[in-house]
Amino acid sequence: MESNANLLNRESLITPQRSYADVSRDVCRPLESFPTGRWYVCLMISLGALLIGVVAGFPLLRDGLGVLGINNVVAWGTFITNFVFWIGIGHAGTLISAILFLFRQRWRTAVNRSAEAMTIFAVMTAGIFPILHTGRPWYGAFWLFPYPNQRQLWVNFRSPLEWDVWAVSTYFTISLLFWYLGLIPDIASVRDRAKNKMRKLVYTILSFGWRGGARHWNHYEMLYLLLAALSTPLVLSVHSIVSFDFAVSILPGWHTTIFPPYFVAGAIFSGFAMVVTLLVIAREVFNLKDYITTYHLENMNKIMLLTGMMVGYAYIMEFFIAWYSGNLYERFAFINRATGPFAWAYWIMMSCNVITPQIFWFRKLRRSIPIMFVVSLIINVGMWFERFVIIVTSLHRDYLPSSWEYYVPTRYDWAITLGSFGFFFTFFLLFCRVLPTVAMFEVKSIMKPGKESYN
Amino acid sequence: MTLQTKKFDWSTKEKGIFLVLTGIGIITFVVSLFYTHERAWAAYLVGYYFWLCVALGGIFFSVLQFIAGASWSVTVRRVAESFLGYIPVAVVLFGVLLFGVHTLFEWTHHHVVAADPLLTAKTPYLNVPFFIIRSLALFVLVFFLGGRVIKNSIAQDENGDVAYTFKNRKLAPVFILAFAWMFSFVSIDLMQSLSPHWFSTIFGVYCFSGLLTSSLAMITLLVIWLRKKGVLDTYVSSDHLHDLGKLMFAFMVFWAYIAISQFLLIWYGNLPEETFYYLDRFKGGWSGVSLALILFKFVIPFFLLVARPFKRSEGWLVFMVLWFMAAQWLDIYWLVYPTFFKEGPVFGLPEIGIFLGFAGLFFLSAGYFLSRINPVAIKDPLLHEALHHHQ
Repeated sequence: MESNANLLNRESLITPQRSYADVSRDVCRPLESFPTGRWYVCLMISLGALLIGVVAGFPLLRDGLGVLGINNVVAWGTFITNFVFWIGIGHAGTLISAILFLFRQRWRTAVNRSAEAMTIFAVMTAGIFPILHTGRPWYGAFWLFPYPNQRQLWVNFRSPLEWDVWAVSTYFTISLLFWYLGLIPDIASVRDRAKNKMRKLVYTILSFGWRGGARHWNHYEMLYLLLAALSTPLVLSVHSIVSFDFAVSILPGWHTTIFPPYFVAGAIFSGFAMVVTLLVIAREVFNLKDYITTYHLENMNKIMLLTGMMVGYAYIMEFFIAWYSGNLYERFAFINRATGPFAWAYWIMMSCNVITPQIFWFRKLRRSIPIMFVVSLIINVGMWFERFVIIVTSLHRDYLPSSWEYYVPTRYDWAITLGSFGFFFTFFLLFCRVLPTVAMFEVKSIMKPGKESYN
Repeated sequence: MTLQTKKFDWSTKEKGIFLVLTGIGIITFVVSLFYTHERAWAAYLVGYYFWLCVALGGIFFSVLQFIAGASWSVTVRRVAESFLGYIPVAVVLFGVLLFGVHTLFEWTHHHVVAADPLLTAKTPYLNVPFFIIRSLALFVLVFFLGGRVIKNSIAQDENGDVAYTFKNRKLAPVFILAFAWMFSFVSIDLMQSLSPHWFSTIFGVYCFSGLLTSSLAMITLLVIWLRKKGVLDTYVSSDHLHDLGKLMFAFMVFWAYIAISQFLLIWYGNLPEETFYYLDRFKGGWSGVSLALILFKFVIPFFLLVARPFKRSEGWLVFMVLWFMAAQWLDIYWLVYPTFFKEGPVFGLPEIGIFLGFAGLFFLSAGYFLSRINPVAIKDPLLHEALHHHQ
C-alpha cells in the first residue's frame, strides 16, 4: 500500500506490466500444452485415494452399514461429518462469486473461477454420503424425492433431511449455472485460440456460439447480476438447512438457535481454507503467480480470521448459554464435550479453528505462503473435527446413561473418507486441464495496460 | 485537492423542536412514573435500547469502513461518526435506568430468586453490580476505543496525514471484535433477561441485526437531511444513497433470516422451557403484534425496497427510513412489553412521549457533535474514490 500526497493507492490486483495477451497466454497454457509431470503425480495420488474409497465401498454395499463404526447410540458418524464438511467446503465459491460480487470486491476476479469449480465438486462429493448412508442407495431416489405412487407414500416434508434434498440440489443447480455462465466468454477465447480442429469443435459447442458482441455482453452482465442476487440467499440457506438437521431435534448440543448462522460462518471459514490450500498449489503448478497474487491470498486469510472468530463466538456463546440456561442436560452436554471421552476431538477443534487463525492478525504471517498453506490445512482438519464433535459427542451420551457408548470409526469409514478427497481432487485436477482456471475476461476488465498499477 | 465544506449548523427552530421533544419526553416520563409506574419504565427501556442501538450502530459502521478499506462511504462516514455524541448522554440515561431495574427485572428481587433454583443458579451472572459493569464496559469500549478511531478520522481533516488511516486500520478490528461480544452481553442483559428463564444462543445476533438496520436508516435520514441543507449535496450522489439503501435492504433480510432461525428452531423443538417466550407473544392481543412484526419488518418493506429506482429516490428513502425506524421500535416493543402486559399490547401517550424524548436527546447530541466537525472527511486519502463513486 503506497501513498503519495493525500491519496492512498490500492495494491495492484495483478502483477503490473502484464498485457491482455499475457493473460490469455498464461491462463490457457495448462490447457494447450501437454500436462506436466507434477500434474500427473497429483492426479495419480488423487486417483489412488479415490480407488481406496471405491474398494471400501464394495463391502459397504454388499454387507451394509454394519461395516462402519456407527452403533445404536452414535447412529451418525463420519458419513454425516463428511457430508457437512463437503457442503461447507462448497460455500467459499458462491460467497466469492455472489456476495463479493455484490459488494464490488474486485479482487475476486482472479479466484472466483476455481472457487466456483470447487463448490460444484464439493457438493457432488457431499451428495455421495447421505445417499450411501441410506443403506440401500439404489432406493435412494424413491426415498428422497416425492413422487405420486399407488401406495400414497410420501417423503416426510416435515423433516429437515428432506429440506436438505431441495436446498442442496437447488444450490448445486444454481452454482453450476453461475459457474458455467461465467465460463462462456472464456471458453470462447479458448475456442478462438484453438489450432486443432477437434479442439475447436469441442470448445465451439461449449461456448454456445459466443461472439462477444455488445448484445451478448449486455445479456451476460444482466444475467450475471441476477444470478448473483439469487445465489446470495442460497449461500445462507444451504448450510442453515444443513444445521437444521441437527438443531430441530431436542438433543442437547444439537438444539440451539445459533446453529444456522454459526454453520454458515463455519462453512465459509472451511471453504476459504480449502480455496487457499488449492490455490497455493495451483498458482505454483500452473505458474499463475502474476494473477493470483499474495494480495488475493491475504484477503482470503482475512476472511478466515473473521469467520474463525465468528465460529469462536458461537462455540463460546453456546457454552455460556448452556450454563445460563440452567438446564442440567444442556450443561452436561457441553462440559462432557470439553472434558469427556471425546475431549481430544473438542480440543483439536478449538485449537485448529479458534486459536490457529489468530496468527493472521500479523500482516507478515498473513502474507507468507508457507504459513498460510499450513494454517489452511490445519483449519481444514479443525473444521472436519467441528462436525465430528457436534455429531458424535452430542449423540454418544444422551439422557440415558445406560446407553452411553463410545464411537470408533472403522477402516471403512476412513477409507471412504479418503476416497471422497480423491474424488474431489480428481475432478479439480481435470478441471484445471480442460477449462481456464482464472476468469480471463474479468481479470482483463480490471487491468490498465501501460499503467504502472491498477488504482 | 482543495474542497470546500459548508459547516452543518441548524436553525434555532430546528434546535427548538428537539428541545421541545426532549421536554415532552421528560414530562411524560415523570408524569407516567406517578400514574403507571411499570409502563413508564417499560417505555423508558424501549426508548433507551432503541436509541442506544442507533448510536452504537453508527460507531460500528464508521469503524467498519476502516477494516473494509471502503471508499464509497467516506462522504457519509462523518454522519455515522457523529453518533458518538450520544454516548455520554446514554451513560447518563443508563444511570437513570438503574432506578428502574427493580421494576423491570425480576431477577433483582431477592425473594423471587431465592425461591427459584434456576434463577439462583444464574446469580453469578444476573446480579446488579455485574449488570452495571457490563454496560459500563461497553460504554468504555465505544467511547474510548471507538472514540479514538473517530478522533483520528477527525484529526485527519487538519493535514490529511495517511498515518491516521493506518492507525485506524489497526484499531478497527480490535474494536469490532470486542464490540461483538460486549453488545451481545448487553443485549442479553437488557432484553433477554427480562424473561430470566428464557435463553437463546442467537439472541445477540438477533439484536445486532436490528441495530444495523436502524442505524443505517438513521444515517440515511441524516445524510438526506444534510443534502437538503446543502451540506452534503456535492458529496453524496444518488449512487451513495443507492448503496445505503442496498445495505438497509440486506440487513432487513438478515434480520428476517435470524428471526426465522430462532423462531423455527424453538417452534420445532417445542420444549416448554423455550416456547413460553413465544407463547406469551402469541396470546391475546399480542398475536396481532407478532404478525405485524413479520409483515412490517420484513414482508412489506421487502417489496417496497427491492427495486433499483426505490433505493435511488430521496423521497422514497426517507419514507423507508421512517418505516424501518418504526419496525425496529415495534421489534423492541415486542421484546419488552409482553413481559409486563400479558393480556395484550398497551400503547398511548407514555410510549409516544418517552420515545420522542429520547429522539430529541439523540438529535441534539449527535447534531451538536456534527456541528463542531467537518461534515465530510475532507482529507481522507480515499475521498477521491468516494467522489468518483459510480455503480
